[in-house]
Amino acid sequence: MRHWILLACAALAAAGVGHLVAIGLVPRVIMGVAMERVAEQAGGWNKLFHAPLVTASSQQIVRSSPDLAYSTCALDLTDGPVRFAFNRDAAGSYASVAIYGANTDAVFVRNDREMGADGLRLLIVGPRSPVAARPGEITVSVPSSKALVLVRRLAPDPDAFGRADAVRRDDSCMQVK
Amino acid sequence: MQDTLTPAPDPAPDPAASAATPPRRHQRRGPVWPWLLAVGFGLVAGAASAVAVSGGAIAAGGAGRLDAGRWSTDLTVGAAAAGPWVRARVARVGLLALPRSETVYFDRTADEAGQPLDPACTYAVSGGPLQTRWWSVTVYGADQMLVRNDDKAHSIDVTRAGGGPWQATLGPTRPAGGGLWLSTAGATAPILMVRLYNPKPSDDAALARLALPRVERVACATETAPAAPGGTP
Repeated sequence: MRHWILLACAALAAAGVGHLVAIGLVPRVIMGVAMERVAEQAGGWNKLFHAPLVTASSQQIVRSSPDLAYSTCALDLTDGPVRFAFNRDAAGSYASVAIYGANTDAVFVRNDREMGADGLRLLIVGPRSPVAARPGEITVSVPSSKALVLVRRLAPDPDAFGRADAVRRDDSCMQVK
Repeated sequence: MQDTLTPAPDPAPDPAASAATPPRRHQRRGPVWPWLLAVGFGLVAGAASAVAVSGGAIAAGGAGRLDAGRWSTDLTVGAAAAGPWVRARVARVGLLALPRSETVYFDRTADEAGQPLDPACTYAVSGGPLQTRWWSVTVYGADQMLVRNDDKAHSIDVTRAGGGPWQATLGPTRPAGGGLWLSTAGATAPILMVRLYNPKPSDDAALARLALPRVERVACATETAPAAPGGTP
């Protein structure tokens, strides 16, 4: 009897460990896959990708909005910081720039009303990157070597999507050499 | 039975035999496989429970949960304050969500009567002005993706609904009279999500008082198309 009780206790303890480990891994694994997919779409890390209009057939990420024009840049900060430039829409439509760490936390969020008329200039640095911001740049420190920039621009109809698409062509995401 | 933990009766000491057999301590040690099996089963069950609790709706029973009528959200989504369970859930059902400082996401899977949304049913969705910079209502399938159909009716937003009271239809077929439509064609268990960008005010009490859209069942396919008497089965 004591043997079976000990076995049951071992199984319960293992279940607790398995649960906690899996809960901790789920965000990092899913985020890792998402970043890899974004990098693949963009043709590499630290490259900007402008997603097409989100439809049932083009969606890549869970709960994407069909009313937003998304741009992404999967960041690899291992070899140094990345400069990111976002340009505002003259019409004042909603837009935001968010940066997510490898654990899915949003480490930086700024919408169009919280930035200057010419948009946003960021220097994104990793845990061990040297900081060398230019005048006018905001330094964003990310606690992981991999991260993701996600830009949202309001585009609830094809015309709005076309306008957002024209503006976002001037955005940039480049590793600092 | 040397491979059990049950001690055997002590035999009479036999110097010759004791020299030929391993120490008794080793005889009492049971086989390893039941322990490996128990630990392995526990690890798999624990991992499976993690997968189970991280699916479903964004809001579960955590400290960040907030309800507004039949809608619910977790206000720690996207924030560093989010616990590991919220992070895991968001990774699976709302990856790359914005924190509440920017956007609040509510979702629901039931109508006003508390019945699960049924893709075979038609619902009247009604709402009014919301104090946000922009809002939208989007329908997803049980897999958290836009419902896979070509109806181009996955979402309605303030630019289409206007700033005043509005009404829309949630259901599998386009409403005959036109109007706003959220298509559930091809869905299994629809999920509705409201996005509120820059809600004002955004404190917990104000969010709980929000008059978010109502979802009332109108009819279901089995109710609207009863079999005709004497018809084909």
